[in-house]
Amino acid sequence: MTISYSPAELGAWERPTVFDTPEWIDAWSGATAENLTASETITVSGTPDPAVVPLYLMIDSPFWRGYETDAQVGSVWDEPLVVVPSLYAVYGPAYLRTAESIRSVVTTGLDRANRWQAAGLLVANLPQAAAGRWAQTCPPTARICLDIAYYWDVNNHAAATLQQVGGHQRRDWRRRWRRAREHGVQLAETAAGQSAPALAQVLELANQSAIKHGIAPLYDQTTFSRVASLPSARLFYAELNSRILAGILTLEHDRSLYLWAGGIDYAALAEHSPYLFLFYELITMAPSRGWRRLEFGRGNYGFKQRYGFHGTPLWSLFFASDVSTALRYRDRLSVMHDRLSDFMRP
Amino acid sequence: MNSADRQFDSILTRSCALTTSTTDYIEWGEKILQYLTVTWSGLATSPVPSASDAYDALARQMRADGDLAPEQVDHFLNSWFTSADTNPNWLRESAERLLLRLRPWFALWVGFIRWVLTWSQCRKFDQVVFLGRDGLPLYAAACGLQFQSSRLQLRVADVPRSLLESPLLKEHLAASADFTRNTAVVDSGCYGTAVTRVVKHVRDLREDNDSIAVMFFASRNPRIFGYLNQLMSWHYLADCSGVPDHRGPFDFTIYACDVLESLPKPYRIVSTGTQIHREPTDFASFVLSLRIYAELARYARLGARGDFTEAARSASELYSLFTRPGTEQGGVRSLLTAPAPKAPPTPPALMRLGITGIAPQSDVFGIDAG
Repeated sequence: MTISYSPAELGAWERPTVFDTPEWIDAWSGATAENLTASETITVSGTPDPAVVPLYLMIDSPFWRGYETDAQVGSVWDEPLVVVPSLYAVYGPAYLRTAESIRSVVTTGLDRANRWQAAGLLVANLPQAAAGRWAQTCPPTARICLDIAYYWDVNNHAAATLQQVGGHQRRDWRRRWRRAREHGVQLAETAAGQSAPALAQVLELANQSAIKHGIAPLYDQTTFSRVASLPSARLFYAELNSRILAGILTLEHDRSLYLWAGGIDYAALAEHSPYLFLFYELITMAPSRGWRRLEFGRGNYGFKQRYGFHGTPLWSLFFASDVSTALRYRDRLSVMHDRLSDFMRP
Repeated sequence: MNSADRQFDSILTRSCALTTSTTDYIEWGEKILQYLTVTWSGLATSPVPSASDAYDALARQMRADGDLAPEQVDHFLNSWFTSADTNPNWLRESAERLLLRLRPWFALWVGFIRWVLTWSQCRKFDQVVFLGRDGLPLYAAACGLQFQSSRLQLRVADVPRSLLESPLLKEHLAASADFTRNTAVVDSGCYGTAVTRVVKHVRDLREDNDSIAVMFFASRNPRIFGYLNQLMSWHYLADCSGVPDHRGPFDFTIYACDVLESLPKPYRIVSTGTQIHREPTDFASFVLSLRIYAELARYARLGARGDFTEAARSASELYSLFTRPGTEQGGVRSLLTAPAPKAPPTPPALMRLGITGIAPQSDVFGIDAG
């Protein structure tokens, strides 16, 4: 299995994302959703600026379980696993470009995997272009495309941004947004850490959406609160008569808005199209807020592809710590990769 | 009931009623854990154990309880318990992960109890007795729904299987609740071994069938009402075209009962030969079980959810996850990989369990004569 990419694609991923920041790494140190029994931040050599990369010893992760469920496979790992970064980070450290820095992460990660008696190291969620570079530098035991991250680059005018959507879908989207407005649906925004009731409602919607898509809840209140406490965290929600119809916990970084976790009240879907309303509002406000990119997150493939969101496959590279188990894990990941590819296909 | 047992009742009730002035969830959760940690230290007169010692003790306790097979205990704990001694936040983090995995069940449990309490009030029952220890989460939900403000009394009566033949049981039940009142008995469910004893005890006091009702969350006895069985019945009708060996709605019912019964417990019941009393379980069982009850009560207290529609929706969604292929290790089954091992009564013994003519099961086929 090879990962094809063009050098032109590299440019989009050469800067650290919000998930590479010390603030995110610190917030995640207090998150509780995953069972992580050890963690460490490693200082990476071979980068122009000092870079710190977190690695975790993962015993269990609802996000990983969700992928196993989507792929309809049993438990892949017979042992703990070292992950870089957490699977809750949409992007891995794609900004590491030099061979020295990439080798530094893989070597240190494998060393910890051996020390902690883990199955190996999983460098997760590298956009396609970056994954190709990593795989060339350090050939992995196995590679798997776990997900697709969707985004839109924003033009100076909302109308121009919306031109990325096909004519029929664009008109339908606008009609749904207008109808929601006429029904009284409004956009609300708060600093995420300062609105506990709204945050709790959005958390519930996010977990209900997970269940609706056939996987167990992904977020607990402590984890949500930790991420919400980041200075860049904002909560956007569509509200009707004090009832939240859809909400998203977002993070702003480097002129990008990351829609990290959210959900909708499915009872309101047909009448108010709350997700489309929310996205439309965010797109139209993007130029005035200085956002150059909207990161719509992972999952919900059919919806995002229907509305013309750009997607980048997220590759995860597995490095086995023991040759005796390498083949077993490679086979399992290969099956999982094939099934997830089918699952993500519209 | 001795003073130590009353103390446990008080801790149970207090845990379910804990509120703080803060709206910060993390702070609220930490305050509860602090309270429970101090309480356990006082009851057990032991220092708080390390994470690894707490894990070992909890695993031992769960194996001794026998609700799960030994390998299920390991799987159950590994998905959420932090046993690393180097992590100072192991208790809080473990509690949060366990709650994350249990929250999808809350609407169903609260929906069941809302129905129980509403039904009991409408049918002029004075008292609802929850059978310990498996019924304790349901008692917590009832506390959260604040039906105590009504004339309905909520009680817990421990009826451990090991004491079913004990001569002390009758006296113990009499001390737990006033069974001369019209009483609805609630339990997690299954075959009805314990509840049959309770009903017989009540029958010794009063002979009229109208003075007692029995409600199970999930029933495997045709003479005992099962709430989840009723919720799942339309799935049974809808799914009859499925392949014969596929996991069906009533397999989910059994699984749902297993989840409820496999939760940690705050106390164990001990018989000394002359009396029955409660003792605190190991640190993690005690603290985490009461943390679950506190959260469940808070959910019931704060949320408008937990009505019939919500419970039915939750049951359908959880069933959908349960039947999804490949979810043995993931999804809703991440807590338990398979149904817990059962020791069903022999057919003749099963025939003797449960009592005919007791509501609400007696209502299911209609109450009109003719």
